[in-house]
Order: sequence, then structure tokens, then C-alpha cells
Amino acid sequence: MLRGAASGLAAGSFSGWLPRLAEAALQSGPPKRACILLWMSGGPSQIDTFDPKPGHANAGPLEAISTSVPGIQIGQHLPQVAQRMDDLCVIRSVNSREGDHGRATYYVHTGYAPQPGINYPSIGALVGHDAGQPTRSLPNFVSIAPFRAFNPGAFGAGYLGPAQAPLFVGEEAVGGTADIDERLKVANLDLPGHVSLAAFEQRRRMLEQFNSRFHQRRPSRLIASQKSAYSRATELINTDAEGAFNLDHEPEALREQYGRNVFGQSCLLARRLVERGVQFVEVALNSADGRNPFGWDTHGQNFDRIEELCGVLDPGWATLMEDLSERGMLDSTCVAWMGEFGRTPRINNGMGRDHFTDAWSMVLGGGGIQGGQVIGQTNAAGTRVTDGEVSVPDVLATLCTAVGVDPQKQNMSNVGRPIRVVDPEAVAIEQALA
Amino acid sequence: MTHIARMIRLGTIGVLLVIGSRAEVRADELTGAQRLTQRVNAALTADWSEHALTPAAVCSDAAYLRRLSLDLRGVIPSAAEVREFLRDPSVTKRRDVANDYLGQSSYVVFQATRWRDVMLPDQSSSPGAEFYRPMFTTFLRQQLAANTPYDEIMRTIVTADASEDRFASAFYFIREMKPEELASATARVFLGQRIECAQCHDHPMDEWKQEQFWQFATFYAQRIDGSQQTGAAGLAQKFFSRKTLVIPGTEQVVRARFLDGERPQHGFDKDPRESLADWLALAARPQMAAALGNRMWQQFFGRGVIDPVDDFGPANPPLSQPLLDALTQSVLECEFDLRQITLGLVATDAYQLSSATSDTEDSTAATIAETRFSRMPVRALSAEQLFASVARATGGLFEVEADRPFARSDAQRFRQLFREAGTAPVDRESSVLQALIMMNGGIVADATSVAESRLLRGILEIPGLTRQQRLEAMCLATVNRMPTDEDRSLFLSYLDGVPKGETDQAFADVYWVLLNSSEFRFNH
Repeated sequence: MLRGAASGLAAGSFSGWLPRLAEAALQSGPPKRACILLWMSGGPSQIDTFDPKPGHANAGPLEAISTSVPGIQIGQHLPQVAQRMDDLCVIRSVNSREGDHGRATYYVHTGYAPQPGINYPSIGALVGHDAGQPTRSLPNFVSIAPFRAFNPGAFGAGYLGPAQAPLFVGEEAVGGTADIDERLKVANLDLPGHVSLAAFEQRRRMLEQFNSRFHQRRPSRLIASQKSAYSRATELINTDAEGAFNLDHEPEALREQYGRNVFGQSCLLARRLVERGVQFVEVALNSADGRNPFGWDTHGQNFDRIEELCGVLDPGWATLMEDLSERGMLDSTCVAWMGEFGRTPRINNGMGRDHFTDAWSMVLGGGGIQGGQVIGQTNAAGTRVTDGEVSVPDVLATLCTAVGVDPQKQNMSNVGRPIRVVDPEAVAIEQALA
Repeated sequence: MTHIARMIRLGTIGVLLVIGSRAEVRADELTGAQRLTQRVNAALTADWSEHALTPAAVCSDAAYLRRLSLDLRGVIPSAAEVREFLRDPSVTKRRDVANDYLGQSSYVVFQATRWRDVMLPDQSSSPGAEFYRPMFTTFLRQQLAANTPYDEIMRTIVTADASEDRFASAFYFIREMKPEELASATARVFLGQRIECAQCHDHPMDEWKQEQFWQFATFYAQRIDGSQQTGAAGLAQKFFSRKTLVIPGTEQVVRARFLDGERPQHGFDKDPRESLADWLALAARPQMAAALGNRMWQQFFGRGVIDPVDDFGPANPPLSQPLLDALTQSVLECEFDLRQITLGLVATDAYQLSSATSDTEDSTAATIAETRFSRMPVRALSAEQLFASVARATGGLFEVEADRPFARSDAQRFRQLFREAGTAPVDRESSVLQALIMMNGGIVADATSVAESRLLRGILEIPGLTRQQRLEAMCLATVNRMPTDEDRSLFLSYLDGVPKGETDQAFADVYWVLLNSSEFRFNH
């Protein structure tokens, strides 16, 4: 099995692939891919990015540019991403119904509309749970700089329980620290100066003993959650998180290429985490300066803001793809780009675009995905889908399939019935899969 | 009640005694709080009997004091307060300390923060939001300090004049005066009903239609920004100011109507919001009382009788209708007096129950017990409660209720990490980052360092104390109780086992354990 999997390798560095391969050999079935989700909070405009309408009034002042794939054009502010089109599959025909930030963020993250009582897990938790390696000290799911206020429940592990909860890094979306490096570290990972690792261990053991009687008489989800959190925190301390969060180890030139902003450096961090075996990394792009929320929610001044945001998105994403490729990691890593909905084709009075769910775009790429193509079509005005309509769960099912997770697999929920990873009506988009 | 009235009453009671209807006499003499306690006790006793549940044991005095202090004042009791309470022989001490706490400023400050979190949005992108929150908190503090009844607080908010009631008007400013947001907030806060789905479309499952939503929103359509002119110009302004709204995305014009479909009866010169306040206070009264009773239940038990507390509706039935009715009736009888309602709730049998299972209970039964309140649930502390408690337990000198905009201190970061609005206190999860800040973060690290911590050095340096006594002081300061035999055995053997020069450090280790324990971390 080892040989069979190795024969699929292209020429290139083994550095990222080999550890994963070795571990995968211990499991049955094909090795699972890692996944990086680029999350554009606020609802990115599809007409200005991946479904341009050059010549139509709805395009506004922006133009379309050619990509590395003849016949495919995207928005003018994404020139570097345009050169990576061979590895990307653009889906232009997403039709959803949730137009409220909170509900839509939940829907796209979990694949299910919010329902009272059921805590649906985020796709990151589902994939981390199914495909993650429980023996590793790093968590299966890391979420970098998310803006969670729209719907905190959308970003967590839901009924999968606290063990699958993501490690959040780099939050402090509003008025945060200026130092990006500091922000992207795991806060409070270092022991205080006067406490040695041995002393810490001694304290931990005593804590466990002191807690035990209290815990025994109080079966409670809260307590289980706290125990789990302390246990995982201890793991991180003991292994010093494998130096994963220390970006100083990366060459300056590469850091510049990603972009010296929160998103760019987060993409770099995502690559490092995947290299060290983290199953799923979510990277949020909330605003161009990394210090404000609502970035893509361009109800006003859409075109100025798109230019700023793409100025950050373009180098970060393109460099990520290139970096993964050069390290031989692209085939073993799925990359996904999306927000909670699209934006109106018609431009409003404030030179902005409002929420729009009838016809919008998502992008998949990397391993398991057939790049260099467009799936689905919208009409000339961009107001409706004319071909290949897909739902949000369809796209999530496609992503799961590419990773190697069965989208119809069931997990036990918190309401006593099993629930599938993705809605049972969802169908993975065959054409998108490699 | 005036002296004369009381005399007359006593006289009447005397007559009644002679006639012999003793039951009526007792009911007459009970306060609203006491009647609430009785009704709730009756409803729950019946419920537990119906579900074959045996209530947990009555909680210890130490457990009661800690729980009460956290729920009323938002902070654990001090070591001295615990000692005094444990020593007090009075049989009415549990009720007396509740009365005592209600008179303290920490009660007002904490409850104001709680109600602010109910009434204002968690996150707001409106400019100046960071100023409006403290403004509104100030308004709430004034109301709570005066024990203004809740329905009057409602009226002040709903009819606030932007130039005269600037602080109350923060309710409007933070929502940028948008009628749709004000309507949603009014329904959610005061009626416990989420109508915002109906803002954009008729919801198939919900009762609310889009037209209803916007009719309700029209009460807030009139300008309230204080630029009211006087005289003829003023009348003209009122006549021509907005009494209608257009439903966005349509051409439909709507006028103000209450959620029950009734039309308001007011003249053109009356602020429509007065009618709205009248309606909330009268026609919507039982619902407003039910919503308040349910919210306050959640405050003391971690979960509402209807849960989520702002989602009353056909799809979300109450855990126990008799319990909800008992609360509703009591709130009405107490005439929305928050202190009476509070006193009533903390005197119930259910509030005095332990959070510990019996030895024989299995975990499924224990979970059911928790959801039906025959055992006190373990509840998460809010960020404010946890921070205030850490500060108290470590003798820290940080300002505990800082609401200053733009300040980002260690204290603020700590609180930010534990802030998780929207989830009920029995549903909150812990995160790795929270664990790390409690284990390694600056505040706890300083508190458990012999060099840095004043409180720790204080405990260590008081002359003449035995190790037992120093350990007791630590336990009282952190987990607010005396150490059990098992605790003594665990800690003293550790302390005795370290080399002579390292005793102080060993005490610091014990202190760290207590601060990181589940007992400290939760309300139970």
C-alpha cells in the first residue's frame, strides 16, 4: 500500500508528504487530504471576483482579466490568482436562501440551517474528527483570526464535543495588536518564568486529584468540556506546539510574498500547520487592514473596498498555492474559497452591492479537485443561474469527497439521533473532482 | 404601608380570626416574594413527583453563600464573609443574607451589566457603539438602585425622549434609530419573542408575517432625535412626521399595528411609542410577565423554563407549564418588582438544592434531574463573574467593571476570552485558550508567585498560624469553603513532603490548584 501511494507522487520535495504518508499507511483506505478553507466574512461580491460580467452595466467600473486557462476570465484585481487557475475550479452557480449574516455564516460553515436545539458542527470539526490523527499533539482543527460575532456557534464543534473544538488563533478582530507575529501565536503557551515543566506537571497531577471527587458527583457537559480543554492545553505546552506558530523560521522573502498583513501571514501559518499534520485550517479574511470586521460586506463603496481586499487576498492565496505546490503538498491539500453569500449584481445608490443568494460563486482547488475549469453559468446580468445550479451542501459534499471523508457518514448528535456530515440530499459535483 | 393602614389591617385580621378563616389570614400576610416561593415549590414538587424524581440534598451553607453571591453580586464572597456566614447560628440567615446583598452597590452594578447584555446587541458596527453601552449601563444602574419596577423601566425605554433621556436613548442610538431593529429588540427583550425572521419574508413555520413585522416596526418610524419644534411648527412637524413605513423591496405601505393585530388609538400629536408602551403594559402584560419570569429563572438556574429565553413560540414549549404559570402569576402579583422576585426565587426549595448527585444516581438520571431542576445544574460563570472572582481570590487590584472604550488591558483581554454571549450558562464550552490563560496567564501566574502575590505572602506571613490554618485561609479565599478531610490529606501531605526551604513555593502550588479547579471555575 505504501508503494501504491508513493507511485502517485510527482517529482518534488517529499518533506510535507512523507510523514502523512507514513501515518496513513497505518490506517486502511486511501490517505486523507488536509484542507485549508479561506473564509471571506461579510459575503464577497462574485461579479467583482470570480464571475465577471464585462460590458454589462452591472460590472460597474471593473474589468475582467485573462487567466492561465484560455477562455476563463476573473476580476481584474486578482492577477496572481489568475495565474493559478490550472489548480482552481470555479463554481459560479451556487444558489442558497439564507441572506442574513448570522444564519448564512452558520449555513455555509455547517451545511445546515440553524435549528433550535441542534448544535451542528462546523465543516472543519467534521473533517478534523473524521480524518484527523488523534495521536498528534496539535489539534485537528485550527481557526485563524475568525470573526465570530455573526454567529459564534457556526465556528465550533457542535455536537461532536469539545475534543473537536478548534484552536482559535489570532482573534481580536477589532482594534487588535499591531504586531502580527504576536497575534498569530497561541496566547499563554509559555509557562511563567518561575515554573519549570516538572513543577507544572506536579501541579497538574495535584489538580486532577483535587478535582476528581467534585467531578465524580457532577456529570456535566461543562465539566467534561473543561477537562478536555485542560488536557489539550497540557499537550500543547508539553510539546511547545512543535514550534508551529513561530513564523520567524520562515525566510523573509517568502513572508513578503505572502503579504505582510494578517491574512497573508495566516496563509503561511496554515501551510506550516498542515505540514505538521493539522487536518483542517480555516483562515479568515475579515478586512484589508486586519483590524476590522465586516470587510466583504460592501453595502457601500464596493469597488474601492474590493480593490483593497483583493490586494490582500491575491498575493496571500496565490503564494499559498505556489508554496504548497513547490513543497509537493498541493496534491495532498484541498483549498476552498468562499463567504456566506454573494452580492447583488445591481449596484445600489451608495456604489455598493447588497446581500445576494440566487447566483454566487465559490472556488475549490488543490488536491482531489479538477482544476482549470468553471462549473455552472449565470445569465448576462448575473441575476440568476442558467446552468449547473448547485447548493451549498453540494459544494461541501464535493470538498469532503476530495479530502477523503464520506459526506454521508453519520455522527451521533446532541438530540439523540445520528446526523450525516452533509445533508443527505447533497450530491458531490462529479465534474469538480479529479 | 402607613401605620394607620396597618392598624386597620390588623384590626380586620383580628375580626377574621374570630370568624375563623385562617387560610386567608396567612395569604394576606405573605409578601409577594413568599407567595412566589410557595407557588414555585408547589409546581416543582408536583413535577418531580410526576417524573419520579427525588430532589438532591439541600446544599451546604458555604455552597449557598457562594451561589447567592455570584448570582446577585457577580462575584464570589470573601473569605471573611464565608467565615462569618458559617459561624452565624441564626435560622433565617439564608434569607437575611439575600436581603443584605440586594442592598449592596455590587448588586446594582452587576445586574445593570446583565440587563445591558440582554437589552443591547452584543456586537454593533454603529459608530459610537462603545460609548452607548456605558451610557445605557448608567441608565440601568439608576433604575436598579431605585428598584424601579420592570414595567416602568420598559416604559422609560420605549418612550425615551432623545434630548431628555439621553442615557436611556442609547437603546436607540446603538441601533441607529432603525425601526426594524428597534421592533425586533422590543419583541425579543420584553416579550421574549423573536420576530426578526419575518423582517424579510413570511416564515412558513413561525406565526409572524412580514406585514405584521413592519406594522409593528412603524411604532418606531417617527423621528425621536429630539429636534422637536414648538407651537404651530411643532404640530405641523408631528402631523407630517412618519406614521407609515414602506416594506423594503415592495411598494406596500403599512401603518402601526400591535403584534396582536389591534390598531392603536392615538391622536396625531401623540407619540406612537406611548401607545406601544401602553400596549406592552396592558394587553401584552401576561406575556411580558412570562418573559421576565422566565429570564429571571434562567439567571438562577442556568436555563429558562422556555429555552432559549427569547424564543417563546409554538415550536418551543415550556419544560413545565405549571412552573411557567407560577412564575408569570407571581411576577404580575409582585407588580414587576425585581427585588421581590429575586427574594422569592432564591428562597425556593430548588435554589437550595445541591449540585452533587447522590451516590446511587447514574449519569442519565442525573442529567434528567438537572434539566428538571431537582438538582442544581453546574453553570458557567460569565466573563465578568469569573474575572471579578479571580480578582477577589487573588487580592488583585484591577478595576473590575471597567467599561472604558478603547482600553485594552490584561483585564479586558481576560474578559474577552471568556465572553460567550448567546449561549445559556449550562451550554457553554471551555476552550484550550481559556485553559491556557488560567494555567499560564499573567493574572494567575502573578497571583501564584511568592515574589509577586500580596495575598499569598499575606497568608504565608501572618505569624502564629499552623499549616492547617493557612490552608483553610486559602480554601476560604478561593473555593469559599473549609477544606474537607480529603483536601487536607491531599494538600498537607504535599506540603509536608517538600524540603524545608520550599514550603512557600509549595503553598503557591496549592493556590494554583485551587484557582484552576472546576470548583472555582463554575457556579454550582
